[in-house]
Amino acid sequence: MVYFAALAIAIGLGTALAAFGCGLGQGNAVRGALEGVARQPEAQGRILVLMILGLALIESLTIYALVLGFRLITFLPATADVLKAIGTGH
Amino acid sequence: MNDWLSQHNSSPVVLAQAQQPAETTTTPTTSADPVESGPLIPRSEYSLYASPILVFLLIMLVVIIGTRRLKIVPRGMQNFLELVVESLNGIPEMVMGPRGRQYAPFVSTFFLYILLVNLSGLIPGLKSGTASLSITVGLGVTAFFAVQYFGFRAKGIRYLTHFIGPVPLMAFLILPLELIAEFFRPVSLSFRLYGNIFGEEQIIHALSTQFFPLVAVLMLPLQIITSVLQALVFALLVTVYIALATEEHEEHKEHAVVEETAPAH
Repeated sequence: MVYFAALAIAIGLGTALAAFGCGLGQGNAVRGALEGVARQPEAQGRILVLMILGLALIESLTIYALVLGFRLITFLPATADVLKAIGTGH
Repeated sequence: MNDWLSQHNSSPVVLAQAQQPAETTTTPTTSADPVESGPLIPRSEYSLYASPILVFLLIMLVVIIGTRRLKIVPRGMQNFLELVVESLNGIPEMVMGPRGRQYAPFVSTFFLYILLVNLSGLIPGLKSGTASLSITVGLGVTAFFAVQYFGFRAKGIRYLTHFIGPVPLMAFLILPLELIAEFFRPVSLSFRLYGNIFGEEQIIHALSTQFFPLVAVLMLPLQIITSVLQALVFALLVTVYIALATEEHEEHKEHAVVEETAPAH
């Protein structure tokens, strides 16, 4: 039971922590890009492309955590089965 | 329909369940279980493989019909196709300058294919082919070998020297790092695409089964944005990898060219 509890916490927290870091990083990247565009509006096209590229690279780390979470979820039993197994069916 | 969803219904607790005497009271959670109530339109697991085939046929059809009677002054369909090709040529030219023109067919094939396969998930009953790891890994491995080929074609055997860095004495430090980075590229490319599209599909599935199905419609614009963005990101990253593998060392000249020809839009 402790195993499943730890697994459930790991799935929930893993992606959440990854999203936390990813949000910080992407916020930084977008801030830099916006400052660049504000200072030099004619460079908008190139900055936009580079920003999207950087955002994709940052985001992929969160995506790895998400894929891992999806894989780990398959090891969790369904709620109804657990309730039946413990015997507290209501 | 989703193997990872249906699979965990019959997972370890079945053992514990067997020891339990037959329980007559059904739990309220059973009826609200998201797995039991299916989506609005049921999708076969094999619909995953229908979408790449559909996209292949669509592209072939458009290309065959569109290029049948080519004219100097384009009209109708040829006009549209020329617009598409011109803008797709812009992707590698933006990164590499005029040198990128020769890689445009390769990169835009990736872009078109991934974009259409991503978008085919919007068709009812179909599932995006890129939500399967086998298809995205295929794309990633193709990109990996193509980058090696372009590198060797552009620089010959000198291509191998960029793995050992500028200083020969430091080669034993640089070489493992460069090799790991090189071999991790297809993995990161394919997992990024797979994770984005698969995650999107799962969110829409969860929304449409746990709430009123039409709530999921709110997520569809997001899926369109994700589809376009991921196709663009894949094509751009492949372009950057090609640019890194084929760049010559007189970088000042190259950069000057890039600055001049980069479109400011």
